[in-house]
Amino acid sequence: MKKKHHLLVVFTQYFVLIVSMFIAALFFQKTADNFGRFYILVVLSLLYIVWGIWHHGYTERLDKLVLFEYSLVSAIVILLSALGLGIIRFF
Amino acid sequence: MLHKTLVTYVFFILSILFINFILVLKVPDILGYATDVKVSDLLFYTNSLREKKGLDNLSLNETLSKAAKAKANDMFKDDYWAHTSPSGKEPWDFITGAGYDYIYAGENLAVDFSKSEDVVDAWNDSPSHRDNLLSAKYNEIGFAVLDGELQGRKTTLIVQMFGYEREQNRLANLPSAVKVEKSLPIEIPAPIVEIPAPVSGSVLSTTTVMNASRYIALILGIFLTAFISIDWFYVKRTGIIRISGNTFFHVLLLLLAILGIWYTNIGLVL
Repeated sequence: MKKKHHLLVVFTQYFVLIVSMFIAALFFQKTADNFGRFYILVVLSLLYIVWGIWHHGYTERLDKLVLFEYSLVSAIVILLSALGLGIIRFF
Repeated sequence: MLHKTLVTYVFFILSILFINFILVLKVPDILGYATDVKVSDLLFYTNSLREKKGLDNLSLNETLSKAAKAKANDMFKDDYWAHTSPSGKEPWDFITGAGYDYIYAGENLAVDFSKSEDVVDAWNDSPSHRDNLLSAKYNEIGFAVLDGELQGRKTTLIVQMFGYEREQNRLANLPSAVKVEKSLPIEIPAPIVEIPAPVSGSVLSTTTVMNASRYIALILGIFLTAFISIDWFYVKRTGIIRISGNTFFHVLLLLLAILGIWYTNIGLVL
């Protein structure tokens, strides 16, 4: 029973993340302005860190390194988006 | 106990979804008010360039802005990216259609920019657009910054229209006594419209730099995604146990960003 409940929660967590990504992609496509598109990716990246803490906290695998990993991936996504959407320039 | 835990998790999930919805739904409002391409900034940067060259400032003309808006709407409606519409409408058709009787007129177009400064810089980098920006023939300017769908993509279109209004038009607004006094035939040159030629790629322009940044972001993104995926595959195959995050979702998030960058165009002037 406990294992079943655990699986249910983990799958719900995955579902929440996929739905969030899907909503972000939908709004990204519907947004005309690159600044708005960048904003959507920033929100999604920040939510990804929150999701990482939630998911790894629940599965008792939350560690400083894991937190750093999620923050790093989010930072990379924000940086790539800023470069790719013309918010900042490489040179 | 189980019920309590479930309620807590459902509440947490709903909170995340609610925050996500609110933040993302706020975007259209943010776009309307906080987008970095603003008419006031476009006017400021255009006039700053003119001041540097010792030219007079251009004043914002509502009729020219109306013409620019009509042009932008027409581009979205007929889905074209050109100075002349598929039905043969020229820029001056919009200018005269809005009620601006000109001697000289010009038009600059831009699409897919995030900042006003970048738009004016990109125009300034192109000799033919710069001719419009720095022409002493004009004394008035109008802008339109419109969001819409152009050639299958949601985008922000910027139309800049320059003009020098025919003096007669101004005389028409003067008191009748003055009008009579000045109604002698005046030699007026034929209307002239300046349309920029296509941009040559020989100069390292603002748009070139922006597109180079876009490609660098794409290459870096693809490289990182490939690297993480190979690492993930190797760890799975060899059965290495290590404390790490969920690699599948890292890859998914990176792929989403790459697709977003791929889908988005940046910086094009005409």
